[in-house]
Parts: sequence; C-alpha cells; structure tokens
Amino acid sequence: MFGRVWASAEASGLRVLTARSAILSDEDAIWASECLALRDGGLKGGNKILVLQLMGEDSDSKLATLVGHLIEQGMPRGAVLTAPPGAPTKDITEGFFGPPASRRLSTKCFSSAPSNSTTCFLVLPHAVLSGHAGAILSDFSYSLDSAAAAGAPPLEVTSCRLLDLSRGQTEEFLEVYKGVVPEYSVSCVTSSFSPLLLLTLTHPLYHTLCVGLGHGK
Amino acid sequence: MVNEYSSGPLVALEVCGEDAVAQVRAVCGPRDVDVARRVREQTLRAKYGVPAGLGNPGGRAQLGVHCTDLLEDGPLECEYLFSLVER
Repeated sequence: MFGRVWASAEASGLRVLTARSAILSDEDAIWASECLALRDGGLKGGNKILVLQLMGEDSDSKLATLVGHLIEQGMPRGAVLTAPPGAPTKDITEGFFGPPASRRLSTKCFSSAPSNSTTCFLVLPHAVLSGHAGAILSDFSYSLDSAAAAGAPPLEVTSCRLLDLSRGQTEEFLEVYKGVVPEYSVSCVTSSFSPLLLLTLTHPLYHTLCVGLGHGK
Repeated sequence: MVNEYSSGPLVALEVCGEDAVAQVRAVCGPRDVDVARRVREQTLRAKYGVPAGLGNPGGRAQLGVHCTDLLEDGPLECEYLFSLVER
C-alpha cells in the first residue's frame, strides 16, 4: 500500500515530503473530519490512516492525476477525498505533521516501543536522485508483505519523511557507525518545495482519503 | 558515508513490528554490493546498490539503502530523524 502510493505520487510528478501511519482516536477522528469538512460517513475512531504530505509545481492538477491513479488501482472512488477550499491548511499541516509537541496525530509505536520492534530504513540520496525511491519502497513493502505471508511477524511503516541532512546532522546521525563501518568518512545539497497534503485512509474496508491543500506556503 | 548521506534528499522510514531490525536488515541485504549481487540477489542493495568504480562519485560503492544495524539503535535513529531534525 505505502510503496504503491509513493510510486503513484512520483508517477504523477509529486514528491512525498512526510507520511505518517496511525490509528485515529475518537477525538482525532472528529478533529480530522472537521478539518476536512466531512459530515456523515467521515472519519471514525479506530480508522487506520496513512497521511502523506506532498509537494510539487502545479500541484492541484497533479493531485487530481494521483487520485485518478489510485482509483484505477482499485481504491474505492468514494474513499478518495480532497479538502474543500478554505480548509485550515496550517492547522491540518501542524496537526498531522508538526513536531511531536504540537502534532495532533500520534503514531502508534514511536519511541515507546521495545527496541527490537522499531527500526529505521533510508533510501539514500543517489537512489532518490536516480528516481528509484518509488521502486525501492514498492520492493520494500512487497518484501515485508511476502515475509509476513510466509509466517514472519508483520511489520508496518509508521512514519516516512523526505529530508535533506546537513553535513553536521549526518555526522550526528552516523556517529554510532564511526570507526565501526569501514566506509564511514567525513558534504550537502538542499532543496525547497511548495506543500500540499494528501491523506489516505485505509481500514476498515480499505477506505482511502486524500486531502489536497493546494500549492503555496 | 557522511558525504553520501548528505549529498541530496533521502527518504526515511520508521518501521515497527516484532523483530523489525532483523527483518529489515534481511530485506536490505549485505553492505557489500558485489557480495549482495552474488549471494542475495533479491535484496535491495543487490538491486539498487552501485558497486565501487561504476561511474559513481569517488568510486565508492553506493548502497542504495540504509537500515539500522543494532537493536538498540532503531528508536534512537527514528527519534533523531523524525523528532530532533528541524522541519
């Protein structure tokens, strides 16, 4: 699911900035439904959601293309929704993707999980710049699904983020590998984007919700 | 390694579930791309890694993907990338 959405976003000319997976509490479901102007049949407590923050030029038309792709791939048409004009962009962005202190949505097992139940996976810059991120994430999801089908404990992507690390941040992140991994050595590129939000809701009944916040900051 | 990780945008995932570190390591494959291609050809490093000397900058191998090596580092790496790094 996750890899497929990512690959579809790339194919539509959009880039995924952040993604989070969570099960909505009753309060969060009400909040999210209000943000999206959903009335009857809106989000419910217990719904499992995958939220993606997307970016790109001409994002409105590309979002429409993406939604079309997702529907073509079997997602129920009625489960793909976009935010109405005038939606509280700042509140939505902060609530779903802001720093932990201000974020409304909490992921399921971030930081409080046993150490062997949380791991970090990165698609490295050369692969992203080569346009392989979607294929890698699709392969990654397929491999995890296949392992689970073969009896391995199921794994789930709970958060995802596209980011540029500075040299200093990279050195901090890789500190634990210094002196251990032979290829460790002691550079940086930045990029900027205009934000747009896509929310997909899955479960129960494979619902998907997409929220487009338009372009601009 | 630092050069490679800071050379452009990367995609970071937090993955949760029982035995996540070992499972994700298995999907990524060996850190040596040549070895991965010989003995674990279905792994991500075998498919998307670039061996040393194949036109990549500096002639160093590019692994395609990174995964947490040690059990205790998973939450720390995720906290750093999803919480501590400025948005």
